[in-house]
Amino acid sequence: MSLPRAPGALLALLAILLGGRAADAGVVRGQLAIPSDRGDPPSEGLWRIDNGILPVAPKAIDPRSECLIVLVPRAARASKEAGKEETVTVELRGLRLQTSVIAVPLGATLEIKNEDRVPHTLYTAAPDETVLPMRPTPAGAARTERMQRPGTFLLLDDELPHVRGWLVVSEGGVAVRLDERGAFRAEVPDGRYGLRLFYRGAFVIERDVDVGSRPVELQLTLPPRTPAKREPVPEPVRPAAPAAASAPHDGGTR
Amino acid sequence: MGLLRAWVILLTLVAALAAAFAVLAPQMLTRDLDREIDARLERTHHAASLLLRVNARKWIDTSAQVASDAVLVESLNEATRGPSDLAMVHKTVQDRLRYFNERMKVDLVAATDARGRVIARVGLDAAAYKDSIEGYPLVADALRGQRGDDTWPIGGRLYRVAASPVILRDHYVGAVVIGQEATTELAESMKAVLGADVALMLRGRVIASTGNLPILDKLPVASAAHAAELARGARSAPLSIDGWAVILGAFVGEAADHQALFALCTPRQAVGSLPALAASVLRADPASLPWRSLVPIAAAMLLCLVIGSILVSAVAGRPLDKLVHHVQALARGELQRLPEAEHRGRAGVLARALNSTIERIAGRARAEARASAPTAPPLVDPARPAPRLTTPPGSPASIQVTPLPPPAPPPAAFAATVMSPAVPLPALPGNLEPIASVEAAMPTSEFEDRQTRARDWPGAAASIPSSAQRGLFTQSLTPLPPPIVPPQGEMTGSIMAPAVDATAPNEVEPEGESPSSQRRTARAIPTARGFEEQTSVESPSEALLLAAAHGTDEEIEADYRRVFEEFIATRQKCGEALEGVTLDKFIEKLRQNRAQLIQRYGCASVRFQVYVKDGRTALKATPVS
Repeated sequence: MSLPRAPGALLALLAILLGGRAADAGVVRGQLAIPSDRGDPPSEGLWRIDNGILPVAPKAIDPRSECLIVLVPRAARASKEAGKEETVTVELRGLRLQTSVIAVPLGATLEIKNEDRVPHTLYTAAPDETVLPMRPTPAGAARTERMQRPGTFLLLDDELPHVRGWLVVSEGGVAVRLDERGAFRAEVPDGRYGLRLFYRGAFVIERDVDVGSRPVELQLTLPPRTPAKREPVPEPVRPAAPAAASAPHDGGTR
Repeated sequence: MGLLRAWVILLTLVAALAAAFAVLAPQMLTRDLDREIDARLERTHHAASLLLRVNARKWIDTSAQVASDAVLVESLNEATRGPSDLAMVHKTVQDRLRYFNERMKVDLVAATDARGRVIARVGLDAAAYKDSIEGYPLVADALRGQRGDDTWPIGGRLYRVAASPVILRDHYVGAVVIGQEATTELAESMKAVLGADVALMLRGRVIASTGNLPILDKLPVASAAHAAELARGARSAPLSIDGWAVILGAFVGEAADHQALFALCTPRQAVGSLPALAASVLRADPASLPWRSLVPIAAAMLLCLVIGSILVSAVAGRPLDKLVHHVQALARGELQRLPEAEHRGRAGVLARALNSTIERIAGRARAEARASAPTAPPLVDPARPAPRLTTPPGSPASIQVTPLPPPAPPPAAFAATVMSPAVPLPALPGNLEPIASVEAAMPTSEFEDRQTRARDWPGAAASIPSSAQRGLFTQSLTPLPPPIVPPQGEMTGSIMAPAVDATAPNEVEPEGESPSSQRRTARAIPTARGFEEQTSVESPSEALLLAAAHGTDEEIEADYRRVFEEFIATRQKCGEALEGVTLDKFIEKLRQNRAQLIQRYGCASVRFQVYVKDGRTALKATPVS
């Protein structure tokens, strides 16, 4: 054994040791299969006609925007103050929420940036109006709200009815976004977790996973779309005056 | 009367039914009319939906036409590829859109590249570009290759929009969006086609309407009240708002979440109540009214009138006329009493009541006349029937002479009636035969002749009433009560004495000789009492009795024998028994009766006659002056 080899051996040993420590954080990865017939509900309108020249492109689901996987540890280890300093930012651009499913840890701050040339007035639908009160966000401005209540809430825009999103405020756990192909990967501490797939207002898949030294491979399939008719949007509760809606923890509009 | 009552009840029921129908019919008519209006409004809503659908398809075709413009295709392709000068592309596209909009005259035209970025606008926000509108589902679908339509609420306004993809050979390079604001022009065009007033609403606010509908302020409230119904079925049931029929329909598309509605309104024709109906009829042109429809009603009324008139005439009018006729005859003196048998029902009751009243008044008048009779009455009341004593058939013969009461002068009002010879005499009770009044039956010359003969009797000169006394007699006869009309009877031209009905001469016995004769007497007295009240026979004067008493006994005896023989022969002829019938008893009875009659009636003599009555032998005594 030559001297020059000693540093290499030390490095290798160190790597092994370090690798053993890293094994305490398990990996959960997988793929979400989206059926071909699982598209958006047909757009509203009197007519939708093919152009007759080119085939109409399928109305694909964007897993990046519309799907969210949440891993919730069965043994509660996270406290309510876990995400207190965290800020989650979403953008309004192209007259839509770029991420329609917004995962926010409990206690974290939600920042909404309006990148459109028109104002947006987002709010959480009844009966959860207090989660995100109705307040306009002018074009180019941003508003911040601190999430203080766990749950899933429907986000609406008082200016543009088609602007919709869901706010998922989780108490602990890890929220994992999918890529454009539906793949996901998360590193979490070893333990037993509840995996939940959120899609368009509901957790459509729920299962338990044991995270350990070996990566957990998951193959998920989005369940068929229920032919439920779109529910009417409840009439929003409008504030009496814009100034009255300011809260101690929100940053207001910028 | 019962038929008339039934007819009146029937007419009342018919009238009540007609009144009820008149009250209910307008309400039923209103209800039916409302239903018809509601049904028509629902059809109008369906037509409105089709109209909007056809109109949307027209906008889609227009957008497709614009999207196929080569300049736009090339420009948007360049914008999609990116490196080109976007400002120049913007200008080119905007110019081209203006060109098209000069023909389309729409409020919103926009062209986007393949990512939904606006390259140029015309109309609304014409100066803005480079922003993305791919968030609109309509634009997103157009970028995928679909043509379609939608409704957008922008800044409190409602736009009906259509979009088409812009295609360059084998790929999509953008989309063209055109839109038209929903204004009064749309409402008017819908009204022109649908025939109903139209109001457009967005977020609980009326944004356009045809005319100045009086219920515009009520429509948002109604839409809020039926929000759930609208969300379920995109329309409401027909509503009634202040006399208007309204149906709410939701615009299809994104604006539906902002309560984009159209309200179809048509006034309800308030027939309402009978006065309102009458007022509407009065307001109408008389020439325009359907008078021919009233012909059956008029015919029915005429028929009712005819039937009612016939019934009234038959049931009420004719008996009343007959009663009036008889009453008038009674007033003229042609009748003494109303013929009750000819009247039935209430008329008969009235006739009987009138007859009873007449008799009661007559009786009272007679009583008053008797009470006020003069102290020196005439010898014989010529207006009174003479009683005739009879013996009931099958019983021992008895001769009863019922004393007559003194005559009472009747009221002067009855004098004419009494003195009239044509007045029939009333019926006498029992088997007493009627007798005519003296003055009515006998002329004055004969009366005077008899007076002369009476004076010729020996010793009677002082007793025979003189002409002055006769005048007094005549005066006393004048105020007699009304006559009593006999239904039948024997009228004599002379003074009639009571007749002796000796149907069984063998049983003839002196009065008071046997109990049976007493019973008969007792039975005959009530019969004679009725006669008493109707007869005025005064006691003869002493001179007349004296003259009668001085008759020849032989002649009288011979006459009695002749009567006895005739009586026996008649009884044998009738097959009656002759046991107990003796000449002495017979003559003695005749003597007693003769004396009684002479004393009672003051006649000069009494003539006995045998006759057959009802197959039995009877004896009649007739006073002879």
